[in-house]
Amino acid sequence: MADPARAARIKRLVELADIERIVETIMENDDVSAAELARRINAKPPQISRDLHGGLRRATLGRLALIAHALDYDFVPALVPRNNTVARARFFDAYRELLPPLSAKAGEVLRPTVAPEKSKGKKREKVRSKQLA
Amino acid sequence: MAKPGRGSNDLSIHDALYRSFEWYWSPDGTMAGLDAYEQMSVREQDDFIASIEHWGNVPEGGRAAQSRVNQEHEDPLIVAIKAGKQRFTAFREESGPTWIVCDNYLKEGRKRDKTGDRAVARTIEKRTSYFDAVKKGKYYERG
Repeated sequence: MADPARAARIKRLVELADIERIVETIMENDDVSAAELARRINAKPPQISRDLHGGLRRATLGRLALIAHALDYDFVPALVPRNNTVARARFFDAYRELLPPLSAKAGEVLRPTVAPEKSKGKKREKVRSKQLA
Repeated sequence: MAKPGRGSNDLSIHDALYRSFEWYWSPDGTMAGLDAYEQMSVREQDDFIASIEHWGNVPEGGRAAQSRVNQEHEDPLIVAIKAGKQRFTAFREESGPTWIVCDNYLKEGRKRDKTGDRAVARTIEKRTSYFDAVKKGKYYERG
């Protein structure tokens, strides 16, 4: 990307998508549903759904900290200097070690598409996940 | 209106760590996905690039963030890459990590409407045509 401003914007969007994916993965690994997370932070389930569909990119640090705490994680905003490459690499290696495995379910590419019917939703989602696995 | 005369130099979109992305190249030489991309605003274009960059760096077997990529059809697997309200449909090349980006549609409501359904149907047809042309050596090997 020749335009540095556009490159920086894209990088920021990618980082925000990564945060969203980490939250989704933690929820999945720890079997925390959106409804359960909503209960833990005293919010309504649709709010969690909005967070996970792009809302986190507009979330405040306080909201991210609240969600992290509810998932038994700490949210640590960190300013990592770019010039100390060795310490920087150590920092990110240690961080990656702390994260849950982000590609745990082999064969599962994405979550199911069509919103399931309310009554049979969870059951259908489980069947689809099995089919994808 | 489709821009004719696209060539192999226009094919590649992005090569990430785990996935590569290409535009679908129609038998008539047009690339509908690229046409749509070029007509989008700079912000939407950046959003699209961010989506493929994010997903391209998700390890095999991992899931992309819901706000970036969505599964649109199960068998064959068709996904939609998101760029604001725009959705770009894509299918996976059979033997490798390359995803072929075909069509786009505007998603305005919560659920996919008929325009989206038609884009997915077109993508399934293009997927068949792609595999057929590749098998016959007539896709990438154009004069």
